[in-house]
Amino acid sequence: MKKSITFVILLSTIAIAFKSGEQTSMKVPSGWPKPNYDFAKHPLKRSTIELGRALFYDPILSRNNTISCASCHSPYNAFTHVDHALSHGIEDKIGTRNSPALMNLAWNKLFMWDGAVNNIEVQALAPMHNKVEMDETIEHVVTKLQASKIYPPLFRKAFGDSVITGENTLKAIGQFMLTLVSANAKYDSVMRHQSKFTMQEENGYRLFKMHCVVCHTEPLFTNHSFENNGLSVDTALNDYGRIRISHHYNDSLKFKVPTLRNIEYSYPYMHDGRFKTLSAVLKHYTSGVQKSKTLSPKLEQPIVLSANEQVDLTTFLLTLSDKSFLFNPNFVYPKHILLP
Amino acid sequence: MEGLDNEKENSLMRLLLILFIFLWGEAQLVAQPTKVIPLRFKPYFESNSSTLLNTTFHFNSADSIHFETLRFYISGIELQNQSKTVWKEKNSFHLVDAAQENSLTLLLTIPKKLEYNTILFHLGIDSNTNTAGVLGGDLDPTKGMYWTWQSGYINVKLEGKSNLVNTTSHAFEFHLGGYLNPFQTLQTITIPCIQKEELTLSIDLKQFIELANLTGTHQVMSPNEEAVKLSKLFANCFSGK
Repeated sequence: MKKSITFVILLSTIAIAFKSGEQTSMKVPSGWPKPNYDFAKHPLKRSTIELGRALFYDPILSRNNTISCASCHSPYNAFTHVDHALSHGIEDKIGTRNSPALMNLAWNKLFMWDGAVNNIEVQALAPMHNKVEMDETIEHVVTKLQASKIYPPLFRKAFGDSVITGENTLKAIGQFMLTLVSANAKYDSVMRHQSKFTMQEENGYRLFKMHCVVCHTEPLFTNHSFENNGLSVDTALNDYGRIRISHHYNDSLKFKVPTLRNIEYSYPYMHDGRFKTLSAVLKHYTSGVQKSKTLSPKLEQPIVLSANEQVDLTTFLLTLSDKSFLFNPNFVYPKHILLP
Repeated sequence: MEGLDNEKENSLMRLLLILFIFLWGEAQLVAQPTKVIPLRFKPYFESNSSTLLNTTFHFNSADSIHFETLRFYISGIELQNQSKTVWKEKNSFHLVDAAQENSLTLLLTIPKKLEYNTILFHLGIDSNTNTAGVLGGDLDPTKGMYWTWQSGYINVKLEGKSNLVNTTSHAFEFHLGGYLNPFQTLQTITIPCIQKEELTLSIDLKQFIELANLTGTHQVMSPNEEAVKLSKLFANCFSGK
């Protein structure tokens, strides 16, 4: 019997030895659901995250080496493209949508405003190949990375092989994006009983739970569904959202419910960035909702909020700002790699 | 407490026994003599033509066609005997490209004395693999068989020109894929085969083009009804002839 136990202990030791070293883990914030991404199957690795971070900030991913992921996803703006209703990409070409804020992506099931992408590991292919974003191909990116001085050693460190593949390039970018977790706003400290809302914030939270929480479900402040929130169709863009992917009439005019975390920093709002301010957003929900066949049932009746209540609700939304996320040194431009 | 200890000991012994049986089974499989069977794909428009790409073929005195690209995924290869699976290829994903002679032949390592009378495989990539994130080898997105504006593999890519296409360029482009209902395009192909030193499967593109009706449909680039219809037509063109 003793021999059997020794054998099992030996096996366990080997397993632990393989798991140690560079491997790092995703800490699920207290009270949060299990992430959708399978970290047990695809564990995070420090060197892979670091490589992904370099790729995220490197314009080498675009045809003329001018546009990086960060061009439209700036860390100080909750990883979105501040000030631009429709994000502009290569050669100042204008796209058809507002770049989404990037955070807590491990909990997403589908990506992009219409859910066109089914896994974070393949997400970067979409902007890379888009003619008005990066206008590049993954094949050519791999060739450029292989010819560079800095990347082959980084790939060797991350994947044990300096021969660069599309698979490893995209995996690395995905791993970096998975680390962008925002869970340390004032709201979170209140939930952890470490601080308290002001009376105004408390009232805003009450109103939020009355009118918004069904779609912007806590703690991620999205239920990850696709909804028609009553925006009129921009006839210049004719963007009908999710239907392009699903081909279901029921999905016409539906877009992904975005998270409200760091909303103070992720303006302008909506899939086409039509609202510059939170007050414009609230004005839409209180008096601008357009009725149509696919309108979210939750918006059938107009939301009634007095001017004071709108202020209180906005005050609550500001408690979702997470400075430790916005200014996290692990998320910024990796000068030590790209500008050594 | 003693009972609990005995129970734990028994569980551990059972676990070790299972582990032993598993390892023994694996060892037997490894020890089994194997042979390599080439599985060749022969896409053709005219059976007597040795090349498919960039050769002009004539339907009649007025109509002609030439193919520029033919690429498709073969996955989940298995051999059956009397409708029972007797061998399955592990990690079975292959990109077949008419422009790459080597890719037209897959090498199957099977047990030497295996008896089989049917080959089964999928044309395309299954739903689970389509949602599994980024993959390597023949499934690497650099192979040009992965959509970028939305997730998913292109199962079959067929491109070329024909005067039957009523546009200035006369170009046709079929990028057939889709892994979600109602536009699931994965096809399962079952072909009876005789045990030989090699297996050859023909793909009759003339049959496909005639049924695809180039005059009416010359561009399919996303998962839709046409993609499903054409995927079925393409799968029907495989035979053991």
